[in-house]
Amino acid sequence: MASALLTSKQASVAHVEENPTSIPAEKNPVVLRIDNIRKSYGDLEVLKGISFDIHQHEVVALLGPSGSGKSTLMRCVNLLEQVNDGQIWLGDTDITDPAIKQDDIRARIGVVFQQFNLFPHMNVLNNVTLAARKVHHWDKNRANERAMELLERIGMGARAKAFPDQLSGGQQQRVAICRALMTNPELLLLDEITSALDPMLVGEVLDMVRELKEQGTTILMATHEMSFAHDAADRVVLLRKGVIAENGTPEEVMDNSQDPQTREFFSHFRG
Amino acid sequence: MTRTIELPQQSRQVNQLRHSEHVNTLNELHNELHEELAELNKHHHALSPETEKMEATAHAASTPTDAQRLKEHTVNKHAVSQVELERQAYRRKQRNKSIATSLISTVILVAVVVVALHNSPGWPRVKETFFSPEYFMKSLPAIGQGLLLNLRILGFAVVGVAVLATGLALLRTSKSPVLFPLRVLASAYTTLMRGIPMIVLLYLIGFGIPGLDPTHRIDPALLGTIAVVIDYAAYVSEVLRAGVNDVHPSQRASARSIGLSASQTTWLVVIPQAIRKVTPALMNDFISMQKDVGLISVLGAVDAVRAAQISVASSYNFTPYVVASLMFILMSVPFIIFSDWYSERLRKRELSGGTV
Repeated sequence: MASALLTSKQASVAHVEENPTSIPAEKNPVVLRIDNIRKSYGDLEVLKGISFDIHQHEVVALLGPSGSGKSTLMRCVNLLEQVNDGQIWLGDTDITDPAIKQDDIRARIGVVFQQFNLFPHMNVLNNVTLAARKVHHWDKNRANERAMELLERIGMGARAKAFPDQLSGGQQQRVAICRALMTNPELLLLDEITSALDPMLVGEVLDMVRELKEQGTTILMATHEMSFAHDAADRVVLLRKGVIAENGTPEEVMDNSQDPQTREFFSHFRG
Repeated sequence: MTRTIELPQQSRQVNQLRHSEHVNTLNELHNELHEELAELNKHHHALSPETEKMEATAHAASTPTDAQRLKEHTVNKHAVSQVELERQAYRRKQRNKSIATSLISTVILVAVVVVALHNSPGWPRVKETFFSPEYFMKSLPAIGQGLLLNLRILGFAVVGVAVLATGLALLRTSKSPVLFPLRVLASAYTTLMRGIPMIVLLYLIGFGIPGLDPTHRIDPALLGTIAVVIDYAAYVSEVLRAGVNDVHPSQRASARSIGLSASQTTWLVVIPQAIRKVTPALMNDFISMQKDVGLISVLGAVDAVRAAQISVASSYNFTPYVVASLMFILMSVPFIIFSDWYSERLRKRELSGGTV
């Protein structure tokens, strides 16, 4: 029953071929609702009541200086951390409910990490198809077909049999994105995915994210690439010391904010 | 502009290289001259002024001017430079020298051993007792038969060790509160079993377990296999545990993030990487196990060592022990070579570094 629901939902969400950007994002259903969440490590409160929604087909950039809570928030959404208060909803599911099956939730969210984290003992194809085969029980042909389609799209089809250590950082990161996209997740989390890359390789990864946006993928990305966030994000959420300092379009937040601290933060990248 | 900056630098480098070449050439000349000097001294000639003169001439002859150097270097830009050719020649000479040296030292060592053995008063007796061709051939079939038992035991023991050691390693790296008592037991087990001498363990199991019910006979080979498994599982589980701990936590996080369950993460992502990380250590344990299966002879199972013992007891000639040793060596050599090759390949791979 639950799995049937999951499949129908997946089919309708991530890669819709109709033109998604023509409708305002706010009219789409909410994919992720973050409702007043708090998170502390010991006495240190890292997240002090964060709330915002992400709608379908929306690309939201999470910005903020180091230590503002970006990574912690990403880890909470991905269930790698437990929140201390508040709720996170993925579609109709409260994912902070301890009774839910966490593995099912994780399977509905795609995650790409700063350090790629491909499995070094598997080739590219097996890395990409692993979750589909083992978690979603696709048969091998279907999984390989879907994986090759994704890899061809990023020009990595010929490297399907290569191992991660034979690829450049940019190639590894693009394969990691394919792995996250493999089973059509409802939401894609990108956690500073270009921070570990050589400046020469950042472009190819960002181009891929732009393409995903055009295909209507719903994305929450923590990033330090300010100009990229400005160009590609529909909305920018600026964190400062565990609270939301700004939440609006890139123009509102990055160009026209009246807040002196926000202006100060963005002045570095504008200059 | 850049050219004028580069040229003096290049010429300085060339000069430095030149300088070390000169020192070598001069040292050789020096040695030659000293030999001549010694010879001439025999004839009571005073030669020191002449030596100095020769040295000075040699120096002048082998020192091209800097201008010449510079010209050569810029003109032959794509051909191999004179400097490199001389360096290659020098390295070749050094290589030949070291090959000759190692050859000579080997010959000397072998000669010393052979002479020492032949001149020792008891050598003919020792030779007859340990290296008798007659007893060699006579004991060969029985010991070969025994070795088959060793191989069978080794096969079963490897499977047993793999299963038990993996279980122990997983227990010791688990964090589940349910498994706490088992975790303590596993920890006690590996501590005890690594401390106990294997021969004592063999006696305990080989004679202790049958003692529980004297009316049944248990095959000593089976008991010996159990003892080998119990002992080696403790070592191997520690090696595997180190491997599991060595897999970076981000690998687990990324496996969980694509929806793999905890046990799928362990079996599909963590264990395969852990085994790869500790393969050289595991291969070493296997090599050590190959010969330790010979210890089960103390329980009376007729393996290669026991067969040799029986043969020795009837003849008082020790050649069968040498036969058994040779067989164990032959059994392990292929794997030792493979293991060395594999470890070296792994080392080179790691040295070649990341690609980020």
